[in-house]
Amino acid sequence: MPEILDAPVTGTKDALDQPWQVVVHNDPVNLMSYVAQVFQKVFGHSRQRAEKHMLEVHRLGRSILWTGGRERGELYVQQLHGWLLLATLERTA
Amino acid sequence: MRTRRLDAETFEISGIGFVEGALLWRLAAAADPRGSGAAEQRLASSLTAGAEPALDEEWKEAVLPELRALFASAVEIVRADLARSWASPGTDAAVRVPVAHLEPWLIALNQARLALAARHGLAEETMNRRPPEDLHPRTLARLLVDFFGGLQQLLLEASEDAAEPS
Repeated sequence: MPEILDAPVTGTKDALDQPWQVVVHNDPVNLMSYVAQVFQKVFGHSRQRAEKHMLEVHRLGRSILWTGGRERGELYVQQLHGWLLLATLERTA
Repeated sequence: MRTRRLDAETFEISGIGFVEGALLWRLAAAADPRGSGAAEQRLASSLTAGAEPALDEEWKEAVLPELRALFASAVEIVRADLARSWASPGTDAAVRVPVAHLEPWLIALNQARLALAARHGLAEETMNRRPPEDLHPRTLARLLVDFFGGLQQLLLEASEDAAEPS
């Protein structure tokens, strides 16, 4: 299973503390049931919450799964990439 | 094809006919992105998709090798399960999958589907359309993507069954 590995952390403390968000983007190939199950595994979501995010990805093209510090966000993206979901880390607007 | 729980440690995928077997044996090759820039790119996503070049560069050097190792390991686990259960494609073959291998199977199947779709440019409208009945390579790629997706769905259901308390 994908495991959280030691991700690189660089930059100033301010940059690390600034809120970032983990965004999952739509991919027409990934099964909807697969995406929902990955959300449950990575974020510990209930099935209902995971399906809500999955449908948001499917209908709107993206969903914000998590907001917080950069270091933890990188670890979530790494896990999501391990499951081959299209995920990015973005600065919050 | 169908799945069933043999015991606490093992699932079985059975009813694998000649055609399904032939397709399944191609999983490792299908999951290999080499030779296609699009497939290689899809299996090596960046952290910020270019918004933060310095972070993406660090990601490329520190994280992507680990992810590549994870993907290669998943495909190898599937290949070994296939080889152990079943020497060659035949009629009504069955494959035994340890419960601990369900996640590597899901990842390997996804890797194959994504690499095939990227290699053959299967965009959303193509995926939503019924494949035409011809022998164009893209049609055959779509067939494989759907086949691996069907197997993935069976394993997802098996995975949910395994997670529920008995």
